Amino acid sequence: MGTLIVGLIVAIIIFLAAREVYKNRKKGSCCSGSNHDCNKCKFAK
Amino acid sequence: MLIKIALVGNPNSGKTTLFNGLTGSNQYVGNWPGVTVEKKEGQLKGNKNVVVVDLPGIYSLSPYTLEEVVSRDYLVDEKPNVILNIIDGTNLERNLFLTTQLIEIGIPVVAAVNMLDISDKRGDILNLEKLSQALRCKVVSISALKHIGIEKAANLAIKAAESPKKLTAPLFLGKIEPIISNIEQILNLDDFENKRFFAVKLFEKDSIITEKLQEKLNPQQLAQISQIITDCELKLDDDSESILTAERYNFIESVVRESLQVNKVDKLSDKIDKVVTNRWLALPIFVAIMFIVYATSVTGVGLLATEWMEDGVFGEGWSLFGLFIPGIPVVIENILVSVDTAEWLQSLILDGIIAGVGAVLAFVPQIFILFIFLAFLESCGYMARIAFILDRIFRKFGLSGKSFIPILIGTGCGVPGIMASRTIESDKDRKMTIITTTFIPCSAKLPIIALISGALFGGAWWVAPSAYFLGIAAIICSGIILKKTKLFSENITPFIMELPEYHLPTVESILRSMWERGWSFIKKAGTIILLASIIIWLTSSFGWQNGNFGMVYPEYSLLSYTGRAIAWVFIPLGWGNWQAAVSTITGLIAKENLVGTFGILFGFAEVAEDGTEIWAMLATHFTTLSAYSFLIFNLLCAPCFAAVGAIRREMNNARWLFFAIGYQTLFAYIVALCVYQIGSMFGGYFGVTSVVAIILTGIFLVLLFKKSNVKEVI
Repeated sequence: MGTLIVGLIVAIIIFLAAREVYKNRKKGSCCSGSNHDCNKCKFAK
Repeated sequence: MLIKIALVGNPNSGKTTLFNGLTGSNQYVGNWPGVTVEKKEGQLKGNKNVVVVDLPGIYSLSPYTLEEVVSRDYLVDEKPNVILNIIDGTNLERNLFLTTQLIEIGIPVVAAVNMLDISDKRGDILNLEKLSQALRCKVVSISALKHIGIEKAANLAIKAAESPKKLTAPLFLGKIEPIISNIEQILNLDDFENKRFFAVKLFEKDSIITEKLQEKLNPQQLAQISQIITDCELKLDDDSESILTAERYNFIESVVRESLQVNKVDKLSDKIDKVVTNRWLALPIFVAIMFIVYATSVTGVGLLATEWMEDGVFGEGWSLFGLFIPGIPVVIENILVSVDTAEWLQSLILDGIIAGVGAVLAFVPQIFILFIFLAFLESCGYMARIAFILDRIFRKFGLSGKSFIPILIGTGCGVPGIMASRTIESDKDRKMTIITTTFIPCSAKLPIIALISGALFGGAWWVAPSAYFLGIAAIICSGIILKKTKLFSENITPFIMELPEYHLPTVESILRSMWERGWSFIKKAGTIILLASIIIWLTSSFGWQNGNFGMVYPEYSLLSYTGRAIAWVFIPLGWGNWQAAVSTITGLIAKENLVGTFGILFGFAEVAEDGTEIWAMLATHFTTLSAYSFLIFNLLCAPCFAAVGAIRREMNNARWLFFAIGYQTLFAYIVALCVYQIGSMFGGYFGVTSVVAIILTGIFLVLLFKKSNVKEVI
């Protein structure tokens, strides 16, 4: 039971981290992540 | 009615600070040109009907930089209701150049003179009324930093927008005014609302505007205008743009003479600069300041805090006023054991997630302390002086004057070193610095140096300095070679840099800057590093043993099989044994892992930091030459995972990340190969790989000494 609950929590954390990485994949695509904030791709330095 | 206020001003005039004050926007406040490259909008505090548009910092409306073109296009094409022109009161003449151009556009202008408190302190007196009369627009005094007068400036701008009066541009003195009026007459079409602006731009032979007007004017008009300009140039023996610039400065000079009473005593900034940028004192002062930054953030308080994070928060635990607080892994382990969690899941959480993420988060205190210093140096104005002092030296091998700081910080740890490259505003210089910073040995590489030095060189004194020398040489050679490639080449422009006045930054702006930079690092640890730690845990914990797949000892793991599979790649480098290959791979997780892995693979459960226990065994697997080649490869190749993450964050582009890692690894391989093979030739060995090494050395030298195509643009 302990393994199931902890496993579920770990799976949720992994899912959230992966979702964040996926969401961020396009940031900086138009400005190459240069040294400023970008309004187009919402890249924030 | 929705009112649009365009905020326009020179870089470093306090425009971003004013924008924050007017809108309450939480934007980064810096002291560097180009902080605001994109257009930003924000609602005026307490008035939903007013939108403030923050335009890039520019010196003029000429089409020389992208920022100037963006601002000009916005002002001319999108026509905001009013321009709020922020003027740096400590640098009136230079700032008024832009003001004279803004007034010509025909949109109401309100001038907000900022930092007058600083010029007041040095005894200068500015008569705002006279300035207002000369510029023919409302002028108000503000302090963007202290939020003084900004509300008044906004109200004046709203008033000007609500009852727009057509501005009469300041008249040029001398013979130019009739010529501009003449061009205006020729442009006498309904289409041209801003005739004055277009007439001036046509006279200046502004390529973009001329092209724009080509469709609207008939050939006869164009010919007439061209004739007027040619006649004027012949008459005044100069090109039209220079004539107009000189006229503008004549006008500005007369305005400043009338309205500003200057205290002849040396400014405080000048007094400081006489010492700080002095030919003999500049470098010693710089070294002393850098020593304080380094000693505090990397070796002093920063190191103590990092050790506390590693051994306390992410270790066994720590004591607080005699009370023992267990570390996170201990607490989590107790919970996992108490709820009877499976062993593999415990290992995943403790050895994978917490160990991986914790190793990266341990750097947070160092990063925060370092960024407090960097934010202070940036905001107070000293960073600009650093660039000024070191640019001449660093420019010789393709780096910026500001590259010194990342490299220096990199001797402590590559992660904050890479992140410190943010202060470099040139994209190419910054990328080059990021790629080369980790060549310098960081503190985690010291155990590797100690291991090789102790096991193969009898602890010879020269091994450690040679590692640093190698790092510096790698940075210099890479800078010279890469600058000759298309990716990094750019024409050398004269080093022109504005040295802002020294001023004491606010605690709020420093803390905000520190937090924004540090937070992005913490976020990264919680996302991509967490995922990568899990992958590494999987490959280093699982594998085949006795024909069964499952959790195994490290020497049977998937990672170790990978090491065995690629060991042959290192044969030309003199160390094709699988233990060395596996250690090199685990070194990518964290460089200090390399010594521990060697220990495990040689049958020791745990070894000292410098691996004393395995010196004898290591000596049987390496010769002095192959050991030195191993050292070279591991010092120069791709850095540890945390640093790779930092490169990813700073480059923000997968292609550039792979280029950086690929270049570092290839460079390390070639150098190690050449050193081993050419060294072996002295021992009497000569083979195919020797020929390859000679050819590679030749190519390297040619690239190094080949004449660069880079032109010096004056």
